[in-house]
Amino acid sequence: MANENDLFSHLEQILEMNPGTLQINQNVRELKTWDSLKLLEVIAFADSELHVELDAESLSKCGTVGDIVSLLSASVRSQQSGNR
Amino acid sequence: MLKSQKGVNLDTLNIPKLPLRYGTDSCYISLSDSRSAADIIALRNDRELGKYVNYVELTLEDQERWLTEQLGRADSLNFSLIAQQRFAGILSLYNIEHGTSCEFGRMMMPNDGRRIYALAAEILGMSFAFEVLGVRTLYCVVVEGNDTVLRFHLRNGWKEDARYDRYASVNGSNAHLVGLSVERSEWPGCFAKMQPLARRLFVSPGKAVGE
Repeated sequence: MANENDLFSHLEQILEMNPGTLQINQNVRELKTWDSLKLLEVIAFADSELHVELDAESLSKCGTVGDIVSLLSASVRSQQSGNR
Repeated sequence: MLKSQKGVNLDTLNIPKLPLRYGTDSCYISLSDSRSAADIIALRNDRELGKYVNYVELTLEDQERWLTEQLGRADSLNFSLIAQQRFAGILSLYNIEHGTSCEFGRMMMPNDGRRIYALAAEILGMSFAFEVLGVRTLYCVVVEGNDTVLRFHLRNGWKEDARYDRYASVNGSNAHLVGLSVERSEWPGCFAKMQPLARRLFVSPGKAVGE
């Protein structure tokens, strides 16, 4: 599982948002539920579900939900091309 | 109190207080001395991070003076958090009444990827208070309006406790400080809740998180 729609859905769950309420261009820092624990949960999700090690520094620099989805997606692609 | 001209270095035993480290090789708290002064000053002088803390432009002399005074106290422990061999924040246990209660606070994390170690700071502080100091009650205060920190503590098992509510001047305004507490009997449940995520922060070097 690595398509961006799936990643977006999982982010909604991590961020405790009702399905369909999260916007791709939403600023994560404006989300009430975004904090250091959520950062860690995204890293844990990337590790256990996507089998990629996510860089906390890069994640903390993400401005929007879309940035996080792109980072996750790029990490998966990078890992897959490294495995070939 | 004896100290070298270069400040207090606990590793050289230049004061009657020895180094204190608690945690794993990858993530631990260490009693602050002069060696962490520059990192602490950078953190304290960050205006954005200090929004809910009384802002004072700290100098090295201010920090050394405060540190020396604090190291002489029996009721206060000020720690630096070290994660993956890198300074990652500060936290303190103070108003310590050994075996009874103490206050958890002065927790500040850098505003970058090291923020994820806030959970490590919380678990280390709570564990030290309950497991080493043996307190029955650990309490803290959060400035009303600091919802991120309030929610963080509540998710880790703290409960609002009006016994510890107080008012104080914060950056010129009279702020309501919301009291929170957790009892020693509740600590195992808190630990169980934090453990799945916290374990990722305490892994051995080589599987870096946040590098």
